[in-house]
Amino acid sequence: MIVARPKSFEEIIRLIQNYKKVAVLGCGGCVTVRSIGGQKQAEELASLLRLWAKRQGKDVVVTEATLTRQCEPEFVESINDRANDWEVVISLACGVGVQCLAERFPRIKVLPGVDTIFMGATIEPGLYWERCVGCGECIVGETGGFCPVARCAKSLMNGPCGGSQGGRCEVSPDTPCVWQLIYERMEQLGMGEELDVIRPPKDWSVRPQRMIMEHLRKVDSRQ
Amino acid sequence: MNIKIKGEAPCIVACPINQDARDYVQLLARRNFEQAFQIVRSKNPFPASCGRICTRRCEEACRRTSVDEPVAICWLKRFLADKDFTPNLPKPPKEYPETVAIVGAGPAGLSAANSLILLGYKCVIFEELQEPGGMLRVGVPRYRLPRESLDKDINNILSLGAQLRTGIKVGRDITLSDLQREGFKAVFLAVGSHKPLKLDIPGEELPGVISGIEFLRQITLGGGVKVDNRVAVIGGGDTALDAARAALRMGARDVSLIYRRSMEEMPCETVGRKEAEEEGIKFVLLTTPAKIFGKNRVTGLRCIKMTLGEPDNSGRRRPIPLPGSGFTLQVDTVIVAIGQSPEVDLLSKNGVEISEKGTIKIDNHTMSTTIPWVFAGGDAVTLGGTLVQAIAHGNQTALSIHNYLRGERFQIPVRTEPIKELSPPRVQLIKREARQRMPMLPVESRIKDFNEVELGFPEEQAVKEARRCLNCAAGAVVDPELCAACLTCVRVCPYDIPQIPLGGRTAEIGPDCQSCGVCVVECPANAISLKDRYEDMGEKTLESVMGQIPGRGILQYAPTIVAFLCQYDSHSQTVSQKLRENGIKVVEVSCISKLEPRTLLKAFEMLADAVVIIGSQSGDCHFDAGHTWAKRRFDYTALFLETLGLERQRLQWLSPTPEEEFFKSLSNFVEEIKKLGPVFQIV
Repeated sequence: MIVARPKSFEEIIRLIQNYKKVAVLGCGGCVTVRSIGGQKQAEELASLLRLWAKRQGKDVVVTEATLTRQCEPEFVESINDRANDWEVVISLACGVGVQCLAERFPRIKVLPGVDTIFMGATIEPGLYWERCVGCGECIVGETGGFCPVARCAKSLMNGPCGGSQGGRCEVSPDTPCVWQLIYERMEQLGMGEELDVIRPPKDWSVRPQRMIMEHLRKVDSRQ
Repeated sequence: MNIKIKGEAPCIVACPINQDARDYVQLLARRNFEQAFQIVRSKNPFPASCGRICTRRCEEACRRTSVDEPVAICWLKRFLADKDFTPNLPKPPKEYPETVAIVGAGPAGLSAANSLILLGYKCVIFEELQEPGGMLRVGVPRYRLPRESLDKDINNILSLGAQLRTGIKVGRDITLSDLQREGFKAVFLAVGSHKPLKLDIPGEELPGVISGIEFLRQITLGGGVKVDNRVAVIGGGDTALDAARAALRMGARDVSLIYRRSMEEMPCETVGRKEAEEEGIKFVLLTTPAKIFGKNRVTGLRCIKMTLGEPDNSGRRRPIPLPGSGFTLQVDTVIVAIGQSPEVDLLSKNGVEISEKGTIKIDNHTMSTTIPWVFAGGDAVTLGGTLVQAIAHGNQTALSIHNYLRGERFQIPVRTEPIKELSPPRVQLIKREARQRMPMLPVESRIKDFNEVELGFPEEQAVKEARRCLNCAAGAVVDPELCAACLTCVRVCPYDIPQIPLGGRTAEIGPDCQSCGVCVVECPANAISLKDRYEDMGEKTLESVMGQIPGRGILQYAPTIVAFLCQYDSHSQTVSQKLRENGIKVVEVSCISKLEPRTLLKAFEMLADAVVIIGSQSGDCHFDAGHTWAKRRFDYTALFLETLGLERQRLQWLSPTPEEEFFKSLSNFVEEIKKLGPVFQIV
């Protein structure tokens, strides 16, 4: 699941200070699940903006709405009618959602209200940790189920490095060295020898990635 | 759309009239007394009487019993009834031309009249005695049910428009055919069960022997009944107990209650039995009378000791005489209270079929007798029934008469199953809160007269008792369409209630939910709400109190302060008053764990200059985890205010105790806010 964190209020008001019609749009997907950008957070931010505007003596209309998912065109369509009333939209969705809005509403200034930081898992309630960077070439099948790309500070393909100390990463003592974990797990699985093979460098070249699911694409009925 | 809880609160299911006990108790807990009373009265035309002498099947079923003791539902009903609200009953949707005759102005007859009038029929009630009330008037002594309380219930029913004709005995003064000729389209026989059963032992005809029901009736109606020093009461039911306690109040020095089984099998009410014990009634158990002695007057009672054998048809163990155990009690008065039967001879002559037990034969669903336009209910059908059973019969018969007169089929009501017992691990998570004790007259003074023994709960005690209710089968519900399957509710619930069904995605919040509101606030998708229509999480109250803000003074600035106050705190009323005296807007919530950060922000949007949260003092918190969650949201909201550049002091957290310290902190807080000036400079 995508994890994001709220942008600072200062940054948000700096970006919207010259506008009079503002919308805060929550997303019902990942950011709702993480209590960062769902309806409640949209309501809270809208409330804060109204309070801010009132204190500034500014006449600003702030509305809020929450889309089922901002990354789907059909759900984005649902705000079509209301969008005419807005000059600026603050999206609380991940970077994907913000861009979908921006593409759909070229006349409106679309701003991110959150910083998307990673794809991660709930380790315990309220603690999320990065697990995947979407590199396009998954190798965790060969690394004991742990991803060195996402979880090693250097994204080493052949670790660990000399900074692995007592099972911890030198970058942060809170972070386990993923290569230590990989070795332990592979030994446990009886596959330790596989790690003797040197892994070639990853192909970091092609961006942006594109994926096509031919069988799900629209059929042109004229053909 | 919402996931419905399967099953209903056991208190509601156990009640013969399905009184919504949970709902009125929850409203009472929120001090919404009038609405609570109206809920009671909507199904129960005898709230003041029932609130005193009901047999409380609801309390037997109360799930709080597995935590500590049942909620005192009955006494809470009495508290509401004693508030003297005017019943607010819906006008009949339609007026029908038919008039129904009701025979007997006891609880069954009057309840039927109440329901029939509300359904749109006219009623005439025929009563043999000079006053209505039936067994409630002549069979229940005033120390348990004062006449004023009974009269209040009856007057409220009669004022709906039922016509009462007293001094008429149907069967003797007027026959069923006469009633038909007079134009009545249906008749409800609710004649009660007033004919005392006899012991059939030698000496029963002696002066000084009286039936319990006759004894109680004469005390009420003034038949000149007297008791001597030593009284023996035979029987183990409520009438026996009442006769014994009444005899004490009539001046008897020594009252023994003789019962052939043990204490355990006694059919009388436990509360009454304990009160009788306190008053000095002697319980002579496992004993049966064999002969009453005396020449012109009772002088003694020969008894035999019993032992208990195998269970009989009633499921109680059968008493067996012990050979050679005879003994004699020196007594001056013997009161026989071993049961009553209905007087059905005259009705039988009128063509009403009678069962082998001597009761009127009816169809259990439609309450109709073997004559299609004649219905019957109450004690005449059940023998020794209870008040609430009689009310149930009255309500049910009214509906059945309506169906009969309109040519509709009687719908057998669908029975809702009660929810299951609390599971033992959950019992451990629920806080123990002792049941409130009923204030009572001291024993020495109460046995001298017929003044009411139980004094009723004062308001604070009633509210405190009501807050013990676990709100079974209500609580939070998830809207699966909004649910993001984030599992937050599963993770935050202090009672481990929400469960993801195997293979499902939306949590099911089961009937054990305690309504603390933690999941409602934490649900990021806004998918959870509390089912109760009277629960507003502080939002609606906030709107209503903020609507009352007067225009801001131009000359002198007075800050607008909103206080969110926990209702569970035992001195929330003192605190609330003090806050109001200081011009503070008060929003009472049943636990501050229900406060959403957006609600706190909303207060500022609605022009509050400051917000203060006042939780309950430790020990009073009904949901122990409530404070922790409320504090987290408080800190979360405080950060918002910081980002707005608002002074941190504008959001305060105060403890209501110790009182003096609270008052001091409060006035400091108000002064500080005054100095800070308004949040918004509004011209």
